[in-house]
Amino acid sequence: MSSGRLPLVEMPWLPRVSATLRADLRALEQADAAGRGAGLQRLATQYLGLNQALSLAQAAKKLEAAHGTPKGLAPFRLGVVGNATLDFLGPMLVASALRHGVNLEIVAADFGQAVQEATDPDSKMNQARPDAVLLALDHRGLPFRAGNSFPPFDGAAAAADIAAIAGGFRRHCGAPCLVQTLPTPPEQLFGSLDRATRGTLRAELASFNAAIAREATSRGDVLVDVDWLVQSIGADEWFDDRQWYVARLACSMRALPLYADFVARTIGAIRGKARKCLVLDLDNTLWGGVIGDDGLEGIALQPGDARGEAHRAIQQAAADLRARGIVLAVCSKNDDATARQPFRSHDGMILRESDIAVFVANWDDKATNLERIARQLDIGIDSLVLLDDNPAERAQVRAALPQVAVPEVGDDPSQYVRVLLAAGYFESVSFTAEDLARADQYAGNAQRAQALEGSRNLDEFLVSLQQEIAFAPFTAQGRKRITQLINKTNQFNVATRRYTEQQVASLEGSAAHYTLQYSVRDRFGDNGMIGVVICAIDGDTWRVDSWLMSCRVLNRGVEQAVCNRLVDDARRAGAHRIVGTYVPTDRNGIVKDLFAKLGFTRGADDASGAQCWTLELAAFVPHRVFAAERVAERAPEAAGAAAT
Amino acid sequence: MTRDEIRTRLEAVFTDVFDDGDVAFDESLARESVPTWDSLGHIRLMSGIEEAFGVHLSIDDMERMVSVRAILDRIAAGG
Repeated sequence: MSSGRLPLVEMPWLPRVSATLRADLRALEQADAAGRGAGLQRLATQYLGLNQALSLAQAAKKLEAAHGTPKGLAPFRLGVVGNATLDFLGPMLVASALRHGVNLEIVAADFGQAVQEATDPDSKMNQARPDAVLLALDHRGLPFRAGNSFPPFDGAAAAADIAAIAGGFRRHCGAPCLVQTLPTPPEQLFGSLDRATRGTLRAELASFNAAIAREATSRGDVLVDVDWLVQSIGADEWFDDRQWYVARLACSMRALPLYADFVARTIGAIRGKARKCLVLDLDNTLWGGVIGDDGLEGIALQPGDARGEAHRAIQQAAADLRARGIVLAVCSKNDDATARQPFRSHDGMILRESDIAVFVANWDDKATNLERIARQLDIGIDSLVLLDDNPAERAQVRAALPQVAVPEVGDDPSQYVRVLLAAGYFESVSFTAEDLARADQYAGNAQRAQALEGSRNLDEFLVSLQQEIAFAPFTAQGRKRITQLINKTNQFNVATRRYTEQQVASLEGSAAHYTLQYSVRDRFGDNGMIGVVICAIDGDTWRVDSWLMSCRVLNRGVEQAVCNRLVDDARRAGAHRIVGTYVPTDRNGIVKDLFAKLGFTRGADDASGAQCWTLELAAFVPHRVFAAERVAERAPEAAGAAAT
Repeated sequence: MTRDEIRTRLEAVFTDVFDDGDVAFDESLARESVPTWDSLGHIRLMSGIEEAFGVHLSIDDMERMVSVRAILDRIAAGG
């Protein structure tokens, strides 16, 4: 029996809030550091109205004041400027950010002070050095109206305001802006003709939004497409004129939770918290019915049959996600051979076995299998989304592994795609050639793991990989990917310093810095650009400011090859030593012995408690490597594109 | 819904919005005696009432509903 589903504005993918929220929040005071972080995230993963969000935000701030930053949450300082009432947005953003693994600190500007805050270098906002600034602007607070004769509206002045605000923040505090498109209110002047007539509000907003989308991405700001969000729920839900007149609320109270989640998932994506892998159940998810009971002829998977079409649409959505770089896995309670039958012999299938990076069909519980999938793909459990029609399985996984995203999808398969995609688990703030090739790379990982089992020892395995590595200094073409790696990499990252795209740009060609990006390919595929080194040049000493690498190529001798290259370049530049810094976090234990392994000697820790490791170049003996250095006939960042 | 039933449900909305046990909820309770019942508190209360009772409040309603008694009268009137 289908019970329908909630409208998108009520975020149907989230479980409804528990009546015990306040007691659950109090219970967190007894938890340890890891339990507090996970607990806050778990409690935030419910549909919260403003009052509940206020309770959660308050509890989170109280916990932080008493015990420090909760573990497992990425800190982010967000400036918020707007031209309407922002009092409700702050706590709603804090609660929503917890849902996306981010511990948000809000710096709010005074009402209507966007231009002043941006252009005055001493303003509260510029002094607060936010990681990003949200321009929560409403068309009613921007100079759109031209007058009371025709044409009534003109978007040029508003566009100039936005450019001045974004430019001001970039100049004075270096922060990128989260720039919103403007939704279109339901009121019309002519009717359909509005769209085709310059000077109507609808036409002016449309050209304004087109310009915003073009310019924001090209200058390194981050686009928040509120216009699209509002289209998906309906403008009548968003624009509540009573609330605008009474309290200057630009977004209705009803739409506020969704809007805050939309901004929060963008911030999560900036901090590398977006999900990477969609795990699919099979029976009654990828097809209708149970393959073990109904057999190949009995399952619903035919075009022309409504239920079959619904399940094929789910497969198509998964295939489209895979094509943009999301890894697919299967997790099903089935015998392996039975589970694979439709993939091999049903012509209604859209997904192929080769699209699935890890295929797990057995009778173990799903939480155990999800851990297995994450391990095989070498990604965190918090990178997984589970799509499963069975509410009991969903509840079990949610309880055992709160880090896994498990959307409530209801019991009507025709609704799964919309609900899954509306949740925004795979939000991305940039799109690079490497993203496009990623799903293939993870499939390659599984093959490499098999090759390792087949070879007798690690050296043989490394030789059999036929790795090639290409080095280059930072380039403009590589900038997006470098920024992405700098902000996403948590494990193989010695100092975990995050830089914006503008900061990365400023390092290109800087005489005071040495920069290196590197890509690795092997006989199973091209991993694309996977590592970054930044050194600050300090006389005859090179100080490693950042060294980070995708864990995809870990334990394959790549770090030794990079070390050799670094030493060669440093010697050529006349340096005598390289000093590496290791700043421990709860995620980067993987590199705690990196410098020791590479022959560095540990000295005294610096004032901030970071470990300092020194390599005297005169005594350095090159490491044995298993990767041939490839002279890049093209910049390494283009490699991923060529692989697709 | 009887006035008592409305009152019980309304009290839950008040607790949700004003979140402290210090406010004694009865029909005579009015806006000036609750410090957090400011203009933004009022908007939260109004939208909480709309959600809990499925009513649609006009801006005139919102201006008038500044005591528990006035709120009960309005909800009892329906719509």
